Amino acid sequence: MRDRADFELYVEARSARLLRTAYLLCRDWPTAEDLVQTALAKAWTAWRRVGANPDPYVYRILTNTHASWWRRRWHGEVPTAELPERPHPGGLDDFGTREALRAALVALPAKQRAVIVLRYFDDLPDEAIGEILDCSAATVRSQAARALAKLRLHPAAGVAARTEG
Amino acid sequence: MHLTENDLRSLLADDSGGWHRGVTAADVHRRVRRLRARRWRAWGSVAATAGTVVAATLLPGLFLRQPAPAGPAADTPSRSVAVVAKSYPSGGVVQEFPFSGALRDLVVAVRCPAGSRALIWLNAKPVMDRSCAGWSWVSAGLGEVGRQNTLQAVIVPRSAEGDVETLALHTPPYAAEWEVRVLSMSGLACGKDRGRPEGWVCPLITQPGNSPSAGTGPG
Repeated sequence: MRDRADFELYVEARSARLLRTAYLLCRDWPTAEDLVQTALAKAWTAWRRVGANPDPYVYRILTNTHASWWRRRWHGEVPTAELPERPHPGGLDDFGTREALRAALVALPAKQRAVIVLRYFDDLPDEAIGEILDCSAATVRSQAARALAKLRLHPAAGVAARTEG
Repeated sequence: MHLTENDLRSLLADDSGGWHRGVTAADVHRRVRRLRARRWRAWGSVAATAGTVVAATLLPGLFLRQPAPAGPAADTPSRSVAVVAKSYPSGGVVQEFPFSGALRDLVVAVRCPAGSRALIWLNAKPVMDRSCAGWSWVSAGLGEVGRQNTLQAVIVPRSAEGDVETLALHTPPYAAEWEVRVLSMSGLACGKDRGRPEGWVCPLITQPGNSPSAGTGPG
């Protein structure tokens, strides 16, 4: 039977990885910590029912919680007195590929972002991702393909591609 | 576009390596306690709401004065209850009668012939001194629950002179039909099938043309 010591060992062993995954989902460290604490707290309340491998269960809580927070939180424009700095017409070189990719990743819907993170950061197989996201492996593959297409087509990524060439 | 899966892996690995405090088991247990407290608060508020609804359903008197239950229309013409209803054939004689019960918002009503003057005391306190003209009534305030109350009433000729006490004691009897009623405006209703309280009289005084509302109001 799983007990408190077992849970605390799991937290110690896996929280750093979970936190990095959470950060890639939400792109904000305090929110990521909040997300991981909430996911682990929910997992603890059901810890005795969790099987030998808690990872799929905890990842599922993490992605579901992130998706629900993402739906609830407002993602619109933030009014500001100062306009952000804009690249001058000839300064596209400053806009690197990575920055463009980050912008494109942030623009992805929550589920597609989760697929990308679980697949390319956590290196999970599509079947495991499907179990976490409660969908089939085929759906994971199609979501991944759509996400990659969006990343390639994102205006910022497009700029990066042109400057790289 | 030169985006490859390796670019993506590299970017994700680099981006996730920033500074962060980390999450400890103590943090998680603290969060568990917060979640449980929030859940208890939510359950508490649900239970309180449910309790309020149940109490409001079962004990409506705690929350608002319930309207009189609907009974036979003929027996519940008003929300008032006549506690006392007496008729007399002659004036000049002080009539005294006790009454008791859970009474509130007492109204004393008198019907006496024109040319007379009605004098009424409730528990030895004067509550009415008024010329007669059909029904007259006066609000006598709150009666006391369980207390034995005494009403004294007399009508005297309007032309008689003197202070109230003297008139009440020294006016000779004279022929004049009059009646007096004490009403409790408690919202109680009485009906054939509702168990009429002993000593209470139904129906009430709301007969056509004789309603207190058709008489002279106080003041």
